[in-house]
Amino acid sequence: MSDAAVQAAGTARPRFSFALVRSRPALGTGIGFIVVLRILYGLMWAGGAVNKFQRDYLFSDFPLKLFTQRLTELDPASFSARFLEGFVIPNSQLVGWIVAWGEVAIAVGLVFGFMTRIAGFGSALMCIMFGIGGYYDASLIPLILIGVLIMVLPTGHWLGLDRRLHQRYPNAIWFK
Amino acid sequence: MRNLIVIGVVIVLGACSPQGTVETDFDLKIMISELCTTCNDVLRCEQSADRPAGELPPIVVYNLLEDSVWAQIATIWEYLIQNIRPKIQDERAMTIYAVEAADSGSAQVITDQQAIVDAVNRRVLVPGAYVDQRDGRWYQLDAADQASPIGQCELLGFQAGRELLASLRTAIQEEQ
Repeated sequence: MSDAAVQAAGTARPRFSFALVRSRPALGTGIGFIVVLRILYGLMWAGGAVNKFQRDYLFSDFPLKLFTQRLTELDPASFSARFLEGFVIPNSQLVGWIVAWGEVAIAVGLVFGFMTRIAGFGSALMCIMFGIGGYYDASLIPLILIGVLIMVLPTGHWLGLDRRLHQRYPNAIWFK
Repeated sequence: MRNLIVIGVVIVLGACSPQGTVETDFDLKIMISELCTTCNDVLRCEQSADRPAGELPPIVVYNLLEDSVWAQIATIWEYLIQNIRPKIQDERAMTIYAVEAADSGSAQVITDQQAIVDAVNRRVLVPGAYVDQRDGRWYQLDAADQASPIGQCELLGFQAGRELLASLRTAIQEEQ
């Protein structure tokens, strides 16, 4: 691909700036809102990850105790209770690692706009898994929807690393 | 690009501020979490046999209800600021069942009450009394001797709690 084509591939989408907000207020404000939402959502995951590391999620029996405690709060006949008992509790250390590092990866992706669509997919998937694993509540619904929104829109191209990486690697699906 | 990285690093470091969180104590006798939005807890408190008749009935069943859908959604804000301002207490809607004696089958229901789960002092505050989550002791707030518990509380498991509530509701319906 020629340099011009690479340039075109990277600039096909509007670039977020204050000039854009001034020239096309609706579009600029909308993009600004989505970018703020993405970064706040990323910070929420960062907060969750920090919590996991503060509580030594990786090398202690904290996840096992947490999941065992949660099991006592659930209807024993529910799918979540059976899932916790049959899969999560026997593999609590592995689940702890996946959750802690998954939250780190999602936070980095969303805050920096790096592989953002994958981070959005990961966040929605993580929320769904939390729900299946017995930690469902109504807050998961908007969080899943935000994840889907980030997955669908090219938010990493607005104040994110994906824009530059897509210019450099136009064929890589990670930065689209 | 450099600015983006600096902003990202500042944001992530901000999320890592050493404010800490309320320690999760898995050894509590009354394991009611300040974070659980979908829990429906049944707390059965019984006065000591040697206590004279007071303001509180001999047996009280506190049913701490799950949060409303909007209250559950509002916890997204709590996730976001969890490392800046950890949640230290939770207000829960509650129904109180006052039972005259264990074998009398006579009960009175008081709805629209509120309990406060105090995660700092590990207490569940209920109207006129509180329960120490560490040992399950039940204290009357305006008692002459504040240091002496008036009885003992027990957090019932999911099934036992549902069965007790069902029997109390049946008894109340039969009385009416």
